[in-house]
Amino acid sequence: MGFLGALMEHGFLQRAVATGLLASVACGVVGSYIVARRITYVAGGIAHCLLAGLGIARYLQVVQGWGWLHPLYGALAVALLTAVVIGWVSLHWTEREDTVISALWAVGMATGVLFIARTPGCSQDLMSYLFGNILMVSPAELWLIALLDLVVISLALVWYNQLTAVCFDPQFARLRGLRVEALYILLLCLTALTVVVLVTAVGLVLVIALLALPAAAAGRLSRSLWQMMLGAAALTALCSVGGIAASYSTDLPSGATTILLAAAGYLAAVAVGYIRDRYARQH
Amino acid sequence: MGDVPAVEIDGMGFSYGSDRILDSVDLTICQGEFVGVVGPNGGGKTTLLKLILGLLTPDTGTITVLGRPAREASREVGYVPQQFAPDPRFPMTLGDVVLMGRLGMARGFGPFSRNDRGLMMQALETVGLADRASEPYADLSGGQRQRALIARAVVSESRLLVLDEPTVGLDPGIEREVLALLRHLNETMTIILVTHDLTFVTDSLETVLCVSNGSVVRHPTVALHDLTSDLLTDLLGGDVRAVRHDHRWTDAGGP
Repeated sequence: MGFLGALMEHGFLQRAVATGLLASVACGVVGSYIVARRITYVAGGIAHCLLAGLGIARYLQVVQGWGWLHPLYGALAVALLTAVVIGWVSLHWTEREDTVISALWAVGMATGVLFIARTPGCSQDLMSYLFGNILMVSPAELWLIALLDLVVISLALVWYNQLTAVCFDPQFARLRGLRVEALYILLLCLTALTVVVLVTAVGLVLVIALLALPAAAAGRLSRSLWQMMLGAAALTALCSVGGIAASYSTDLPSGATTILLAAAGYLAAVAVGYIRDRYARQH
Repeated sequence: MGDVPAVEIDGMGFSYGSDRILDSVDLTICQGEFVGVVGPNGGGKTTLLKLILGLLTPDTGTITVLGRPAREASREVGYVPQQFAPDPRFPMTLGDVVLMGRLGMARGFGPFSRNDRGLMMQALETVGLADRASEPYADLSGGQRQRALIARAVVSESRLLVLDEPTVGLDPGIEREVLALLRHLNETMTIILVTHDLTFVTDSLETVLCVSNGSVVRHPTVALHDLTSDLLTDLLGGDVRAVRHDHRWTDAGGP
């Protein structure tokens, strides 16, 4: 049976594709902001801290019997907390920003690994958290992802002009009366929500690549930020669905396949941009 | 243009840590003036601008801009920064950059209105770039970028325009174009311009503020040929010697 036939028949594939498409929109919008602002390392710090939230929530769920506490809730709480801490450090303690992000990155991972080690029967969870398993998304997770996606897209679009100004020229934005610090923290919180959405698709190790590669590829061929967002969302959707299809057909890991497709898309965009620039210089 | 001074500074002092940058400054700039700000590097010119813009707060004294405390008036002040060099990979069209000047004018969020876009096109027409609104900002030349930043500053319908060395690094021809544009804008707004270009100062301005050694001194400008070594030392700092020549070769083989 081909992928399209299987897609019509199997609910898990339909949820996987829906997750990939939902993640693509948030990824395209927020990825464009963080690539343009050059803060992908901040997204990396937030992503790796998530393991602490995932691990603690899973521990409380299994060992303490808190059945209602889905690991994604823990990831959400830790991601938002990390975003606020990193934002505060970036704004008020710039000389130690990289040190603090690196420390949070490692401490988050270590905390997550310790809690997962103390949770019986969770060694498989660790691999799916690190590298994603989009084919295992449950209906409840899909609803949570859809809700987060809606929040991210709404906030990012409502404050599009303000966030763009803060990323492009923060001093001028401040002169225009914008609350630059608050908007920067908002941007990092949107990044945190997007990272949570993407963790189910590609896992927290590969999140940075999926945020950065499609946006960087689209940015190479775009004149304005909204064009970059549309291009990045389309490319992420293509790579996500392509990764799921390849995973179904060849039994390869979907997350890794998605990232390699995104990398190929980025290289293609760089090549097209180079040829276009050269042609423009000659004519 | 109204009786309220564009800028009124009373007994203002400012320090960076233990370094006293400005001390007991009293100054009034009337509406409609075109004032040049000169002085040695590190003398406090940019600090003075940032205080007027409300980006810094004075340690002592007060600054009133267009009748209000400087921080509250910042939205009514157009600002062109010194050598603004954004990330060339940041995808922004010229129109997008100019529209930033409309931020903070009405709603706190949402898209720009049709009126905003109309004013953006008017501002681009004023600076002679209306036909390039949809081009990437990064593709513009140095002179076009400076004109774009002036358009961004005036699109907010500001009554005061503050520029921090807007012609640094520009070719003399482009520099003249920018300065002619500023003279045109001065017909409707007050302009404060930080510059090292004494030719422009002496040719075009009636008033110069010399910022040096913590003080701000107001000079009437003098003709270029009347500049003396003492006055240049006062304006630029250090030990400056005025040398005059008539652009003809001397017997020694040099100009």
